[in-house]
Amino acid sequence: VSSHTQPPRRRRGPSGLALAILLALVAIAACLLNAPAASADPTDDPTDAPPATEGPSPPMTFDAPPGSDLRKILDRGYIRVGVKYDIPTFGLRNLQTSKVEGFEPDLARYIAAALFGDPNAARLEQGLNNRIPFLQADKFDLVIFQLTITPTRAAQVSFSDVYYLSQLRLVAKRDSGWTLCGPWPASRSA
Amino acid sequence: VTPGSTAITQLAEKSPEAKIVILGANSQCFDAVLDGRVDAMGGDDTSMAGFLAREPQLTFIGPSLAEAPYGVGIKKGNDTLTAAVDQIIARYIEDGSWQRSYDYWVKPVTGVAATPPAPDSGVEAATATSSSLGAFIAELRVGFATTLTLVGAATVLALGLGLVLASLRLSDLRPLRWTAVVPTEYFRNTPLLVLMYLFTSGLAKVGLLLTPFTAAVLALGLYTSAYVAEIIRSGFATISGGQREAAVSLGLSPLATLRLVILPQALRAVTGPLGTQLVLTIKNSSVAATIAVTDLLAQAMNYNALTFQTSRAFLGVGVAYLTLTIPASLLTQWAARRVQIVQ
Repeated sequence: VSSHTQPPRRRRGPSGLALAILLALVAIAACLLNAPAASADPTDDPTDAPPATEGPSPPMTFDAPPGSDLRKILDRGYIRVGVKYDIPTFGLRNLQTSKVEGFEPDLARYIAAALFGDPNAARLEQGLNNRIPFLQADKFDLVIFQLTITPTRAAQVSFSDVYYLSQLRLVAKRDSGWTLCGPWPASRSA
Repeated sequence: VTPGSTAITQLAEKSPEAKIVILGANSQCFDAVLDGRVDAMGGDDTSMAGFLAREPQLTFIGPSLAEAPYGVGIKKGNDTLTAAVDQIIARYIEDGSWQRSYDYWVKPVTGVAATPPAPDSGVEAATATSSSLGAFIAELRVGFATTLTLVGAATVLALGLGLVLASLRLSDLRPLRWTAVVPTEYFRNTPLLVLMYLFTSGLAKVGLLLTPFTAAVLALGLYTSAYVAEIIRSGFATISGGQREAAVSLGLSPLATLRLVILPQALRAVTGPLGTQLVLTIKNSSVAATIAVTDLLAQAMNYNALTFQTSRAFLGVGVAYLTLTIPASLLTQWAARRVQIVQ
């Protein structure tokens, strides 16, 4: 009645079944590896190249005395920029070309073109929610990823001038019937 | 809303009765709105417009709650770089590059024509303030209570289910054994994070809406139950076969054998390992932060994103976890000594 009274040949059953499960799992893994990559959508393919990658003309000059932070970056030959990889229109990594595209990558490339004469001197890396520590740890020179200027943040990092004014809004289902009861004073983010 | 977004403070300020759910990424927020797990999501129009263009079911509601000026973030003290970036942004706007980029990327999606922001419309006047320690501790206190209830509920579920699974594996009937083997092996060999998503987004897709907290209790409880089952099973192995044979020969039913002979001895043997599992569960519970449970870690991440006081946020939350794990391990050591069978 209990397992220990049975002869040891009982082991063969489970091991055969285990082998079958193992084979099935290997087959699933093989299917995952062989699955065709998402096919390119022709409508997503921009016919005209994104603008604003030529850089400023005439070239700009900057005040970069020896030993300054800007001089170090200029000597290094490239600038590391944290951008979003997952926001359509503002910073999205194109899965076909591996290029990061959008409004903010454009600005990053323009900055690189202004500093080095080459838009590709901007190394665009993914900035996630742990974003500011990367700046403080010198992993990024700049972060251009929809960072709203707030007083508490200004205590920890420097901000450039404003390059975009976005609006804080709510999104709901179209058929939800939700409306906002006003009046909402248009105030600055705290 | 997403962690650290200015939408959190704005919504809390303007609509105190709104229940705010913080999810890891915008795409998760949209998913939650579509599934009906939340009524609405808040955020910058720029982050959301691109998704809205792809998802006809969703739309903006109401006017703008606040303006959110974007600036390039630069490490404090890199002043020559900051000056150069300001110079470049001014030129970017002046030579029409800003407008070209906006018209190419943003305008087709929002349908709104826009002109560049005034360079001085920033918060340059904003005085740097540092968030107080008291505010941080208040944030952690909320998370502490959540973590404690989450671990408590998951542990009760795990102990109960683990005991059942381990007992089923002792059964003489192969189908019964397999009903225990399959869940044990599945939950033990699947990443906890995957289970968390399965119980939130996965179940929502088939119409079963769980609150983040319930989903986290289920995921953590089932995951832990597999480990508990294995620990209890190892306890069974410490009991010699003779005991079982003796019980059977006394005429005890299989269930009575389990309840009166096997379990009392096995559980004593595994009190220590079960306690270790409790400590692990406390630590594993932090994964729930990714599915919008406002536990200790979520509160710390949120505080960090809002203030960027990283070392305070994560050293602080580490200490908070220690105040749970150290008593838990001391308690189990003490309990293991109390129930030890001296041979």
